[in-house]
Amino acid sequence: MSEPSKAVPPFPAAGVGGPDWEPLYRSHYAGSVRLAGLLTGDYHHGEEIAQDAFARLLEAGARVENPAAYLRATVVNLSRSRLRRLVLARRRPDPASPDSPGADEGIEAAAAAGAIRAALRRLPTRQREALVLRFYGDLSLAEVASTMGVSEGAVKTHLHRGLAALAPQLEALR
Amino acid sequence: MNPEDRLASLMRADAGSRQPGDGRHGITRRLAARRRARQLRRAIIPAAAAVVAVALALILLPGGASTQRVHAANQPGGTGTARGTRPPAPTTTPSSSPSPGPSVTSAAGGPSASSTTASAAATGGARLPAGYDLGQATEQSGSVYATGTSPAAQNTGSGSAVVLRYPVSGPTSDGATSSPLPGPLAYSLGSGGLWVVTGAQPYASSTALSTLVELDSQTLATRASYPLTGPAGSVDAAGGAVWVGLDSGAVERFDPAHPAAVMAFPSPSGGSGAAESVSLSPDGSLLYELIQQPLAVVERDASTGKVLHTASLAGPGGDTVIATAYGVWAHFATGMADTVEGFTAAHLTSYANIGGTDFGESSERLGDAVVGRADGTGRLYVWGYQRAGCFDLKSGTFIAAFALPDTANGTPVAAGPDGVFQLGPQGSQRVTIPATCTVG
Repeated sequence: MSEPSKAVPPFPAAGVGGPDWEPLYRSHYAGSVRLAGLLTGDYHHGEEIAQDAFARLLEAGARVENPAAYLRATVVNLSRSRLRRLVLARRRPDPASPDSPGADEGIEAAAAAGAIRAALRRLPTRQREALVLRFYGDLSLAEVASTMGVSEGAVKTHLHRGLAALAPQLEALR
Repeated sequence: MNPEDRLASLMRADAGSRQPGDGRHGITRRLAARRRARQLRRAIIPAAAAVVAVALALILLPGGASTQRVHAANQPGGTGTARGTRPPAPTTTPSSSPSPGPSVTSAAGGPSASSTTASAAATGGARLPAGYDLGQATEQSGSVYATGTSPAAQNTGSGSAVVLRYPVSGPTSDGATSSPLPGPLAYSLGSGGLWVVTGAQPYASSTALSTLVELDSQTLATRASYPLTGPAGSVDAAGGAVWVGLDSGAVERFDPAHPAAVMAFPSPSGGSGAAESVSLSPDGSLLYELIQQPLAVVERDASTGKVLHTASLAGPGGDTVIATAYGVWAHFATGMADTVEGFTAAHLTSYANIGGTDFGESSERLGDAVVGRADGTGRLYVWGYQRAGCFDLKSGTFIAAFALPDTANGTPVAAGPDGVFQLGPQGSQRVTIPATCTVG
């Protein structure tokens, strides 16, 4: 019996119209998955988002001056979009704004998350993004602001409010 | 510990407990899907603009309506321009063919007019050119065959690729390497040669016309090449013929004895995606196609091309369909993971679904191969990054799992009558498999 065969495309090689992909993948893929996992509350979503972000980076190729920053911003944007879609998919009669507290409660059933992710999910999207980028991503205020597309002042506000909202949970998790 | 440090610590502990699987295959597939979508947009926008222009002309030019309508009807179809560049060939329809049925096309002047007799010689020894990556491999007739694809072909779909032959036993210097061909490549061994389709872009549609190239299966020297009617992505040499799946979903049948004669089966009704994989049943009566849009396995009568059954696949993209005496196996993605699903031949009823968890492996990258015997028994091999499993071909029942020696990502695995092999830059390496996996 003859068996048809087709070449599955390997991961793009180094030095073809852009950065050296393999080191970039090795150094940033797992981190991107985890970042997206914390932002969405689900690491399965995180893997899909990270892969999508890498595909966009590969597509953009040499036009991207700072691949790491591009990846981070793409992961944040895709996570935000994913959460919006999940909320809309539940067809709430009056969907709350993504920035409103409780907007993401609908995804709770879809994710078996750790306690800290469960606590993060209850926060408004912007507060969660600011907290994850600042304290998990270890970014400066300027980098967080740049990634989120807001001012540093707004980042400080989101961080302050987010920490205040999380205080009871952080106490309980001691 | 202040709240900020406490939060950082908790988040790192939670994230650190998650070890992501290898995402390269998923990234590559998503990249290809994005390119395909971009190509579709490029094709649709000019067509839509043309329709708008014609509509405006109909409004502004009284009396020209009938002519303009004919023109407009020919506009949509992004590949029309590419097809128009092919030299015209006379078409005859056999009187015995039912309608709708296949069309038989004879290229003007016979084989010499439509084919290019090979002059490019292969090189001795299996030598992967520097920078090239090995693609999916197959084992057959004492050799492991694989493609070697240049970075340009991988990333842009426009670059060179080669076919390599590694002997199952013996040094790689006893193998062969074909002359460079326009990559990426799909190939199939059978019907008197090794048949290669050029420009076969996995998961993506192309606008460039592909070529069917016949290689000597031992020396990999090019014997001849034949132009195809469009971009193509798959080939199966079986049943004394060569079947080529086009990006339009149509299938062309070549007779190796008279390669200029073409029997063409039109795209399945309602389908618009590429024939990603084609496979002829062992008795030669049925032809199976894996089409991408909508993702499905299509069963055709191999003599008339009539679509007999269709089975939808629940996923965004497919890789392979393999027809066996006891079932039809389709390998496709289900989102983040891959799966291999078995269908009964002749009715396409699903009866088995295999994922990586069946043999303790990530499902992100699964390969597949069938080792069958004339009596219909055999094994289905499915592999991931580090482990592989063998399954009963008839029932889809799991038999045993085994480790792959080279855990480098994407290292090709080939299963065939002589065993299971894994390819690397140094050649093929025999994989030790459990005795229960051996086809008795």
